[in-house]
Amino acid sequence: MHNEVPEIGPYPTHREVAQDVLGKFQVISSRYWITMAVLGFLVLLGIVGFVIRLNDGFDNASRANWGYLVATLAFIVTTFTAMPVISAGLRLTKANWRRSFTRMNENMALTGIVVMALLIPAIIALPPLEGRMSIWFEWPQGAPMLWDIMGYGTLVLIGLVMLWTCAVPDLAAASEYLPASPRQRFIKWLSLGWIGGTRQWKIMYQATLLMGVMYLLTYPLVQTLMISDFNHGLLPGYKDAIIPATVVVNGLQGAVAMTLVVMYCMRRFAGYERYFGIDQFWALSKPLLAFSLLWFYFFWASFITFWYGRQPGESEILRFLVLEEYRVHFLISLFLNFIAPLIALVWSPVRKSIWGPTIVSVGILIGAFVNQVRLFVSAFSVVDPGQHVLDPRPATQWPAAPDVMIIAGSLAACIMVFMAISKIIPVVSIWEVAEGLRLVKVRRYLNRHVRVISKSH
Amino acid sequence: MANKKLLGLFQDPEQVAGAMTQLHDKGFPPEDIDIYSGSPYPEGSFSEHEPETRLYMFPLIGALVGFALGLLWTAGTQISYPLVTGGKPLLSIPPMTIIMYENTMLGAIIFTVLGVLFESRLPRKNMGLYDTRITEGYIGIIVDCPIEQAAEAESLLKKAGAEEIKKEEE
Amino acid sequence: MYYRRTLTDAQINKELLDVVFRTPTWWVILVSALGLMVAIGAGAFGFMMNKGLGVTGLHQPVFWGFFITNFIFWVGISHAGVMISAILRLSQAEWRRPMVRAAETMTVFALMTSLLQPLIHAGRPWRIFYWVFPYDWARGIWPDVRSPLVWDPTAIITYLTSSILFVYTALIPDLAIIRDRSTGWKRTVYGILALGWHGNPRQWKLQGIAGILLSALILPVFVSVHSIVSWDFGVSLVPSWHVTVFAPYFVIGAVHSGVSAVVTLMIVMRKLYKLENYIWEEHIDAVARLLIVVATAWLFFFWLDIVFAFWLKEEQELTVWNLRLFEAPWSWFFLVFITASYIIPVPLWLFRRVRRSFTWMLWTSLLVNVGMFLERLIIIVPALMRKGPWTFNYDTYAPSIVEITLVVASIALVCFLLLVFSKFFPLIPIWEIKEGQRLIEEVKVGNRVVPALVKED
Repeated sequence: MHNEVPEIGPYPTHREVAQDVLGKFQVISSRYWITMAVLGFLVLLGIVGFVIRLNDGFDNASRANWGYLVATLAFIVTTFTAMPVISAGLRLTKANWRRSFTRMNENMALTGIVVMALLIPAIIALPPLEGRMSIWFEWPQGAPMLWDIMGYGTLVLIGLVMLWTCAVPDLAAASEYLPASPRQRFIKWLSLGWIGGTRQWKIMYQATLLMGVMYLLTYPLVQTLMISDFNHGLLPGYKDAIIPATVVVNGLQGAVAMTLVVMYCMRRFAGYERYFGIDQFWALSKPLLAFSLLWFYFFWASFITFWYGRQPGESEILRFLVLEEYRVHFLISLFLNFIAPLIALVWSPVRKSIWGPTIVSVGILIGAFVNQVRLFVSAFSVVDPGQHVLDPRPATQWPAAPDVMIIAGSLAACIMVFMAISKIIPVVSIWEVAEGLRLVKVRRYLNRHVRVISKSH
Repeated sequence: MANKKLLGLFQDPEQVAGAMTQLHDKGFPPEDIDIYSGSPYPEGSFSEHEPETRLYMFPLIGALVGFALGLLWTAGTQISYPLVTGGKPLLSIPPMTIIMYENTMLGAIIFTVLGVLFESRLPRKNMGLYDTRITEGYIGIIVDCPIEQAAEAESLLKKAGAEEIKKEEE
Repeated sequence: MYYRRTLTDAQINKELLDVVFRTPTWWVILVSALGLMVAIGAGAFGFMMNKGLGVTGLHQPVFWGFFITNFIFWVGISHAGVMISAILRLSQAEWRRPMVRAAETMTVFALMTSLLQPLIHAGRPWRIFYWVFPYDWARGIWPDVRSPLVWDPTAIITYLTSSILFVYTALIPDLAIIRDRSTGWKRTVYGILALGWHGNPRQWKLQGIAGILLSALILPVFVSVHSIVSWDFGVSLVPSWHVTVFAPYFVIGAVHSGVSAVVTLMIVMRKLYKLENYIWEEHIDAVARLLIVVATAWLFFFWLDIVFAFWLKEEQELTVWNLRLFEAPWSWFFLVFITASYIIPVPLWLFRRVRRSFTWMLWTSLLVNVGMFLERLIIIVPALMRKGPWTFNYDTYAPSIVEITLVVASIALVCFLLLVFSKFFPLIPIWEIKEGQRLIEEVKVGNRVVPALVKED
């Protein structure tokens, strides 16, 4: 076993990697167009659902109609839009196994467009700040609309700049590979005339790291705004200081899970098996397990404080969100986001496989969506957020047809956006993978072979 | 059939790797050859016999034992003296969970350590054939072979570069 | 990163076992001085037992003061061991090697010291056995498992036992080295402790698995310990304590103070034991970068604590915060705490020159712990000073000379125990240093030679 020569990367040379990735990038197959057509139809369906909801307006009585839209928005923010966080974080730690999927994650930054589109009606649906608790303390002019748009907008902008900055070298390579066409001209324009000189590489590296750090710092802020405005401020008597941190950690879990699922799809449907291999799945399964444990930990920190204190306001919230009306949602989430990942990923053979982390991730994503429904649909169903205590508690709100259409349309829009950008920016970072090839060597060590791995500067 | 143990001491790991290869080529079973070193080498560096361990059983059993003990003393104490405190129910699951979790982890960790020692075949009363220079950087090859093959093993180790060959006392 | 001259095994043994085999004068002087301080502390404790708790500054309503602050402080310091040892072992960070044992040992002694604090603080410590240990025959009732004061000792004893076992398991190969270097009764004693270790592949493989497995098991314990300690406060109804964020806030604060304490320890060890060959600038650089992340995460939780304290605009909560932020001397303490814990050290650590300077890192790490001690004091005492809703119950607190003596003695105790430990066991794991040296390689990329590491899998 130890005498086998380990692989150093998907292909031995930069040239082979570039030709393979750009070859796949160049081709836009009929299957691609069919998939886009189906997704486009779902997006149209989503718009129809949105128009149906729009018909009822944004007043107090119809606020509950927007709960599922907000839950979908929160789900997208905690999964698709959180994927660049994984990329940025791993780049800071200089983990070698990240190289294959960093671009794929950064491409997801473009789903920020969907986030901004859903954000506007979500904010409009919020009740006025007067008479209720909020993170704005009734003070800043333009709160929450102006500041939320600025916060989310900043995150989306940083994500796009990070994506573009990191992709420039590969855009230059792609523009030289593709035959002349409007697509090729657009890509060439995006490549900004990149040549690949020492100075350009140095500045690109620094910009990438800086954007990564900024994305990492902005993401918790956006999650804090999300949960404060759309959940915490709508539930009377609810004071939960940990909830922003909870959703940040849940977001990281969702991001890792989405990374695994997208990698699996890229392997299965797009032919990228050599890039998304056992190394990537195994390495990501460990943070997935860690975040699953943290999911429960952060929930428990809230729960034990409320359960033990037995304050009337907190007890009503606990009954509403966990023990009574949204108990089913909570139990599904508890199982899919904590129990199942713990039981499965504790076993080394499951972690060290392709199917293990993928199946667990699918469960986590379903659980994450159900959890967003529990947090946001419940909050939007409260008629009077200005009460002292949540009494009476609103009944459980199940999805209606327009809600299902909005959910399907929004998720389809995210996938569509990703598929579209993946034909403008190659989905595997050629320059990063090639850099990795130079930094990894295979050497004989006494009677076996080992990989010798260096870290980039 | 009587067996004899030999300990060959080397300074250079490459010589050890060469000696191991030759021992395998000459038909000495890998299970009968052991390596002593003062610090770990990457697994398989000397083509040594890969030990099978069943360590995973120990933390599992320990966790179950800890869990059971935790359940026993939390539930048992609450049932024995049913006194409502702070408005909490008599069998309060959340506090029980906390204590049972700690006991589960303690059980798992204690049993893991016991398992590590057991699987390492420790404690070992007699040092047997050993040399203190091993912890100074020397590497020892222990060959446990029939007496008839001892001379061949000794000669092989010497040829491979062993500085000294120690034999087990009769 | 680790490109240094190679040391022979014999050289490493000699340098790292220097204090074990000979007794330098500085060691005798330091141990005597620290022992004297511990004895003075014991005297102060005896005085307090004789005269009663009245000799402290504790009185209604402030019954938790310096002793409980010290308790939380030392539990916090104890988190460094697992952070450095377990997390860095699991992430296979090579730079952990010189620090792990010192950090784990500091954990054990810090935990022991922390356990002393509630005993000292109890006034009649022999009565503690009644409420902690599960027996009922003397008093007719079992301990109340619903109380966080029973969760506490369960968690701390679990963590202490686990840490001791963790230290011992990893110490076995080094005990074998000392056994082989010793003669007479010392050889017998170390022989027994080394359990007959030979160093065959089976034992080394299990040593490696033990490191990973115990790290993975002790990590959840480490998170739970300080969370449970935080719930002493969090599940109560004291204003500004009944906050859900306390669990992760305390844990991350513990990591911040603990890792800073490890930095202090490493720099002092390097100086005293002449460990320049083993503790390099790269090590403190790496720890400082970790500290930046940890400190920033801590700041996020701290910010959540403050913002959500004002969320419901409860009068009692606002009173406590008013005291903390605007009334002397607590406002000054607050200023010193936030400056010392974050505002000074973290921006300094952003500079590479500061991170690689032993002097700068020593002073900034000490500053962090001064700040973190004050943080615990600010959390505990002002809340009790304004606990009740009636102003005639308001009062002040100031520590007496007895409390100050005991706190200083606790610092002396931990240092004393570490020094005594180093007389019998090496503070730097010898076998890990030897292994680490073996895994250092280099990769030639063009005209440049880049340091690299051997990866086994």
